[in-house]
Amino acid sequence: MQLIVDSLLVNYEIQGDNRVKKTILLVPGWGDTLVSFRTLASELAQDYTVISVDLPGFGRTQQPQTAWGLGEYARFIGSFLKKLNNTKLYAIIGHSNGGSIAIHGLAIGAFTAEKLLLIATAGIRTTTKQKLHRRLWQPIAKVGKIATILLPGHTRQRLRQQLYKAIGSDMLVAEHMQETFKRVVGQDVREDAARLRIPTLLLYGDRDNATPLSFARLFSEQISGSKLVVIEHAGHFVHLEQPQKVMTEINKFLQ
Amino acid sequence: MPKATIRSMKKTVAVIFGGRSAEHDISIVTAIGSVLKPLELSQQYNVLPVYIAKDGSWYADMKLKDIQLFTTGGIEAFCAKTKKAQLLFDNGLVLIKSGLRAEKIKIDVVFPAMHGTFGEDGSLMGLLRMAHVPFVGCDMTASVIAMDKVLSKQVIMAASVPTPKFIHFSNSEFAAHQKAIFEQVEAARLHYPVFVKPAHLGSSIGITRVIKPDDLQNAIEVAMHYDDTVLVEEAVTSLIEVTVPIMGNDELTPALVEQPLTKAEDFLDFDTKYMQGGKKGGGKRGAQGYSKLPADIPESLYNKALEVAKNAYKAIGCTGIARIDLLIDSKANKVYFNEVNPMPGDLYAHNWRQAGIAPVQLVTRLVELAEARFARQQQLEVTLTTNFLKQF
Repeated sequence: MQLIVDSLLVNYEIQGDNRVKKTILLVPGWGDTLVSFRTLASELAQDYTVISVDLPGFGRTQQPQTAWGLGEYARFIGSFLKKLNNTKLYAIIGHSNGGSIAIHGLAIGAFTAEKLLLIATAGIRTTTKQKLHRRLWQPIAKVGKIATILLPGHTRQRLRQQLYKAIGSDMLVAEHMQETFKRVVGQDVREDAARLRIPTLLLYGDRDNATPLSFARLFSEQISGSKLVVIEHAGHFVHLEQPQKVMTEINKFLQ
Repeated sequence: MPKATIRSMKKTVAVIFGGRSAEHDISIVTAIGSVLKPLELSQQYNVLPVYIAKDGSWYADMKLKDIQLFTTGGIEAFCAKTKKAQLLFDNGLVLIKSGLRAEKIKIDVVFPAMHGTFGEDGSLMGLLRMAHVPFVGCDMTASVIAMDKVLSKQVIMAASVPTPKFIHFSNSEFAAHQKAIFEQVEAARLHYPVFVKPAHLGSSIGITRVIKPDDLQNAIEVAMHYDDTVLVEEAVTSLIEVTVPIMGNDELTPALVEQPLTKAEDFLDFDTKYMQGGKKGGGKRGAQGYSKLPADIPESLYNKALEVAKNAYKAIGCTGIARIDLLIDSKANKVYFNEVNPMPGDLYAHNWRQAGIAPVQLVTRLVELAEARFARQQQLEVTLTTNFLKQF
């Protein structure tokens, strides 16, 4: 389904019975689309109205005209829900960067929800390890940029992709959104998380390299009363890798 | 001497595909799978693939026949290192492949395998008319009418062919008189559900099925994102959707009445049609997903559908080939015209095959029809010799 929100064409899906009062919003991560949530959404739709959305720049939703940060994404979700006349969320479920947007949006009051569920959520940007990582790779990237200046465009692009893949950066996951990526990964949401006062469940995979368990523990410390569940044998896409275990935990939490 | 003239005595057919359209990718599949290969298999023509990139640049090269060039993403690198083709209007169409050894290729017939904006809406047809070259499919006027849902419904109604009740308005009218537009919807007594559609786009892009007035505004906004003109059309109840490919200039040859397997509440969108290969079911899988072929409807209704389709084809002035989409109210036994598609995706080759016309026969017949129409047009006087200027 499509909708115009703040002049952007937005792709979304609604599952479940619209007459059911309790609504759950699913927010995908960076470079991801609502398709990743379809299995989860179908299960949840047995008891709730489930809205999933492609964020601007991803899937079949239009790209924003300017570089966005978490604030713009959070306000976009607020406007999207308003347009759907569905501003009272029972729960919001965010994966990875979708979780960061959920935390920031709830903290600044862009939208409200009774419960928050964070799956492999990102948003911790300033650990000592991350700072060291940046200090090491940033000069290499800059030198590489100058050294390859005379190479043909597509060769240069291929080398660039290889470099970013090697350092584990999502910068080129969505090449058209590089400026937005820089803004988003520059925002740490720990202070936002500390302001949350709603029941929160944290689900992280024990084999996640993108958002490791250390992130989970930091968020758990910040969000008072939150519960952390570690899903075994799962990497970053916990809900796709261990759907049954994830669903069991979500059901327990939402009841 | 141009190389094409010493190559062989075979006629050269240029298959044009791609284009600056939302249906660019679908056009590639139509061209390579359903046009280029059968034309080559016929061994009657020199077949030249002509690709229009998304930025509107033209390329003519035999390598463009390979679907892998597109599926592997190699097309961007190919375009970056390949010289663009130039067009020359020299009492016919000549393609110039520039480079160290510039090559001029005289085109005898053009086979546009394009969908949507610029390729199917009459724009390309206008260019080819100016170039004075025969081309396959509907001519310019019919293409313009066909790609405008409002215009085609108005033409159809004038020919007394039934079509669902509708209203239409422009973007600026809606912006200035929103309340009046909603009143107009009420006054027209359109029963919900209604379909809100952009007037010019194909493949269900921007179309929303609206079940209650509260949702009308959002649907209109989406349609207006794509088009300056929007129509709100009453949905047919007890719906059976069927489609009829037809071929011919004066004498019409319909293929089979085909029934796409969709439910009224599960409106067939672009994704279902093209991206996912259709729904799982017992029907036949064509470019448009799964369908019943021939349609599973009573004989009287089947014949009525054929008659309405042929009447619509004639009313709009189609020639060559077109596909007429119909809506059947199965309770009232009524057949309505929905829309006409002047260049059906994959030419609906699966349907023609089942109707007894193989892909090679289909494309060669279409080239013949193009030449016949062109020959007839040559008999019409278009220039007039006078001494008008000499008096000054």
